[in-house]
Amino acid sequence: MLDICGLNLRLDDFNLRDINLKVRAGEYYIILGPTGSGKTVLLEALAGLRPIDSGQILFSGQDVTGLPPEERNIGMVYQDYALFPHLTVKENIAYGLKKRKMGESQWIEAQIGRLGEFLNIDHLMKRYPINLSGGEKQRVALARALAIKPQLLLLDEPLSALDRQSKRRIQGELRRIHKELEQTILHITHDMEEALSLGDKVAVMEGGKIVQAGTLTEVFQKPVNPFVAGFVGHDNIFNARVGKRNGEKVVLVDKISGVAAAPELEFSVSAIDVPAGSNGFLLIPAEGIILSTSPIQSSARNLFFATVISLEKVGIITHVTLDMGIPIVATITSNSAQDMKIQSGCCLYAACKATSLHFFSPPPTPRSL
Amino acid sequence: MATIQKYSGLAFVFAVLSVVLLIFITLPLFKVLFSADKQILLTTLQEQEVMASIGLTLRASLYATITGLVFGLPLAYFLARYDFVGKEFAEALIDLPVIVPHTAAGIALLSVFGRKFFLGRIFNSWGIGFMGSTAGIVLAMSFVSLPFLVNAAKEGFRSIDPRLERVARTLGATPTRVFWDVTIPLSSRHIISGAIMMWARGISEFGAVVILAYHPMIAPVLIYERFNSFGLKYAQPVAVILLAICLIIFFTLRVISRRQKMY
Repeated sequence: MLDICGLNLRLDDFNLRDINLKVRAGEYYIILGPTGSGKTVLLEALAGLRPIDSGQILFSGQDVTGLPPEERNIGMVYQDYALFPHLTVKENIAYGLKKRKMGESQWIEAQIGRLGEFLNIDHLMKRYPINLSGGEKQRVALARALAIKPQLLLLDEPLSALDRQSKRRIQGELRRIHKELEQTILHITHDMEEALSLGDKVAVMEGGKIVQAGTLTEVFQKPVNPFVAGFVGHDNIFNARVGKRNGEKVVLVDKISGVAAAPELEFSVSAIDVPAGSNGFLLIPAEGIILSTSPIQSSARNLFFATVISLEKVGIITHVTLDMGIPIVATITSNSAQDMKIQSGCCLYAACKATSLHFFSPPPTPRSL
Repeated sequence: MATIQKYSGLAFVFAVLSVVLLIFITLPLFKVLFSADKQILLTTLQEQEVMASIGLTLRASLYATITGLVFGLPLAYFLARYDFVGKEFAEALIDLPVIVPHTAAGIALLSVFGRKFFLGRIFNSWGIGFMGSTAGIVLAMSFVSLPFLVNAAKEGFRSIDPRLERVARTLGATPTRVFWDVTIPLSSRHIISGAIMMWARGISEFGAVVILAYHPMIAPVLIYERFNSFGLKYAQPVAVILLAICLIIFFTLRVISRRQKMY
């Protein structure tokens, strides 16, 4: 659907260099990178808002490199929503439909009604943006972008200005937009969790270049360089699947080393919202692992036997690399590392609460078109 | 030991100084409003010449403001949105009319729009003369009052998030459409207040106008002439009338523009 070939763009203090990217129709593509890596500039170049110095941008095989934004069929959603403050919610959504002369006023009315229902904002139509919450603003911004039935929806950090709860809800909306409307989406973020829970594919950007692109598994499991590894892998992420034990859903991770009494590790994870058999990723935050020299009795239901491989003291915290069948990093205070006399080779118990673990199930890859 | 007080000594000193300044501005204005000889004021009000001159002043300044909107808004937009070579220079140029003596500005305008320079001759061949004409008054008023409009509009444009304009483009609007749909409505309050300032400044102009066009006589020139020929007693009523009209218009427009929404 989207084909970027050798795109170069020079700004005063910043360059995009040789960007190549292919996004298939119906795909949810995440561009991951730290602030200042050029993500927003890339999106604006795709939208036709910034002229590029060289390279080509193709939409469904058609060269749009020279077309102004109003002649490209893309929807754009910015982090801070960019709703027109002088227009009501309804007028905001209608804006694109009217400018593109997409239909009679009756048809436009019906279209807005459908979108309002789909995104659950039909009760807000007469309000002005200033009277909306963050989550509501974001849904209006999505409705406005979707109204023009864009070939490609560009999302610029759509979740980072939202509180935790609204974030979850908008994530749900994005999944629905992707699945039910079969919308092709390019979503940029610095948040790895967004990539894990929404994306089909991911490209990692650093300093104006795409350093790695591929499926989530490829990028998370085989980062091509220390930057990618550092950026995507600062926590423990494992390929995992949902299984069942005593009628309860558990997450299973294959062991890759150690005494193989059982071939896999079993984790209790709270709030798994996908059926047994689903594949995905298990994220174990390094701070969420409790180490002890004897098996602890606590609410932490996940208790494993582990061998210390190495320690790295960074001021008041210490990173402990452990082998518990899978390599895992735990972050504890340097004081407790000293109290427990942890050193490489010694054996420990590692525990983690079901509530501190996250299971991400990426959406099924859509059929390729 | 010092105690925490709602108003510190500093705040008290500042308050006193502020009040002195406000009195300095308002006292002369209100004194002149209420000290004119009632009898002469009444006869002045019925004078054809006075009313015609006040009408001319308001009209000429309005034309100047409209011209200012046509040429000034594009410049303000450029200064607010684009970076270009010489931008700082352009911004300094815009403030120039405020700092030059206005009689000097009048002389300068005369040297360009008078009949001795080709530009003046070109306009003259089109039937537009700037010497002793309404066109000359409008020209002089524009020159000295443009900065007020351009600077206010520039602030207005600058306060708009450019992403609003970008989103409008992606939704299918051409740059011209975006300017009318997004940029102008969102900066309307700045533009209106800038236009009021420009209009008011134009009405009050004397120095530049008197060089280009002593006749037809605008109100400030009329006040000056009566002061010179007949003295304070006869100049004062004209000043009072002009002042009253200006204050009424100024306050009315400010109230109206306050009602405009701020975004």
